Amino acid sequence: MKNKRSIGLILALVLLLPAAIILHFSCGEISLSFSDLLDAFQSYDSSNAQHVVVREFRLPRILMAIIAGAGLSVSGLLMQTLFNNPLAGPYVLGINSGASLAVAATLLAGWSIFQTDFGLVGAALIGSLSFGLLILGISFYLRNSISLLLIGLMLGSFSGALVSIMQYLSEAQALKLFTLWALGSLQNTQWSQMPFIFGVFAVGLIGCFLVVKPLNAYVLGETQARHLGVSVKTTRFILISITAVLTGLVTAYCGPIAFLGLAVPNLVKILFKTQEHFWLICGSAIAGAIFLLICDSLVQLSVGTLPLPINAVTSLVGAPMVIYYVIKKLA
Amino acid sequence: MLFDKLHIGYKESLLHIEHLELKAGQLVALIGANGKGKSTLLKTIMGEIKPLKGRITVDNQELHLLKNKERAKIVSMVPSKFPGVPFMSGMEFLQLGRTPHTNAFGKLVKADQDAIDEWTQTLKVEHLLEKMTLEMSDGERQLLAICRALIQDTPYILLDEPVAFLDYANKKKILALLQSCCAQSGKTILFSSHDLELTLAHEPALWCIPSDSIELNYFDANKLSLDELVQVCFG
Repeated sequence: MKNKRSIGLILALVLLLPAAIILHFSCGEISLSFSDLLDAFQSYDSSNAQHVVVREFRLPRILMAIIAGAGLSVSGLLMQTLFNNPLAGPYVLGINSGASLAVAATLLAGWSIFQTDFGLVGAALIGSLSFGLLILGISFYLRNSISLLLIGLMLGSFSGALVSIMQYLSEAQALKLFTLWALGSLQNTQWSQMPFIFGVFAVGLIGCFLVVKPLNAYVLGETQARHLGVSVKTTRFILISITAVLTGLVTAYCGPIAFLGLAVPNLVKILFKTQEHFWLICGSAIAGAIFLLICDSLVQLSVGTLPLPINAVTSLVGAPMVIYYVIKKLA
Repeated sequence: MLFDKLHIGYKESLLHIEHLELKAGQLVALIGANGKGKSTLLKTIMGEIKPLKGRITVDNQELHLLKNKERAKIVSMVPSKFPGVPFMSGMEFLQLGRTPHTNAFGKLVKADQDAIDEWTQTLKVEHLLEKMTLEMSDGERQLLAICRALIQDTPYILLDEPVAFLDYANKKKILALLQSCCAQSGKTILFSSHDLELTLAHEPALWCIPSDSIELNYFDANKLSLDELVQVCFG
């Protein structure tokens, strides 16, 4: 009954994923044939432009879209369940503000302490992880999770103000660089960084499946989860850690990608009609990957005419979709 | 469950129990005015608040020292209202009752399924399994919440004003259900209620907090008329 619906939907999503990958593949500026793709692996030739495009640009971008889409959606789901609030998303803890602050400090204020060999990625990674650790530390002192939501918001406002001041004082060139980072992009990842990114992502995703049981109980609220025998502090610690790592990773490499992490888990719940988190995690991960692949395909298509940033496309595509579903399915 | 020289509250002592015992198979109604500490007592038993002084023990184990998982096998709790959860079916809600018993991944084994089947049949709630919890009436949801507590399979069940939000017929139905859970299934039930007449009709033992005292005491229902009870607790 219930499970059949979930299994069917997961199968459908699993079939849609390769379709979205092919769509993304065919939307690039330089058109590639299927044989270019195969050859780029079977007989890679670094002097062949097509092969280089496949290996150095297309594949990292596709993998990054999958990892970012899945990572943000799953993080959003965890936060919605932790805070018992469908409006929560991956950024409620203020992880993105940490990244923005560090990137702004590097680009706008020119602070060299954040300048590592990895450039902006290093700064963003340091920023999001230090905010992640900060909020994790605070979470030990709080009895209930809702206060954490407020502290995340305050951290966001506080660092947002600092960023505004830096923007106000900085020059046009630096300001433009920062704005471009803040609009997000999936094209800054290199093939050589993929093992690290994928490794961290895999650890985070596996971690999610280990907390399926407490997540299911958390749906009834923190108090009832405790009454059902869930160790609330441990669970909260794990959920925040996973979210900080996944969101921090994606934000560091792609910038703060808005909307997706909030919308996809809600769409998945509407479709799956369940609170069984095993299915919700699988569904959010795959649907998030598909959603971001489609949005990035549009970004690629827009390059010749009016280039759009990924952050604008996710909201432009996503918001009407969510409104439609909410009205149709819930009315 | 033994309450011994117990003082509970947040900072100051709100409620005092010199010595009371919740005996196996007993149905006990907790009677007292608002703010006298009924919910605080239930929260203290559930380990949400530490006792200020004294002890609550089950088989010589202090309840607030137990891990959540161990306590969840001894005592379960039904809040006054289960508002329903979006996208959650009755079945999913009932399955959560097995949380303290399942493995780390929450896998339901035959014993878990048997417990769910047994209580859904006993309480005649099979028709609610496929229904979404948000689409149920308050009465259906409360019945399901009690069913979930029974499925949790704990010897003690606490209920915080379980009939407060129900209509007259559902109040009677739920109270009769509690009475039969004690008589037929050997559960020990402690519940708070302000519906005095209906509550007394189901013959619980009475634990009352007199309005002029902070001491929770046993009262013999046979020696006390409803008017006298009202006088003691709310007068």
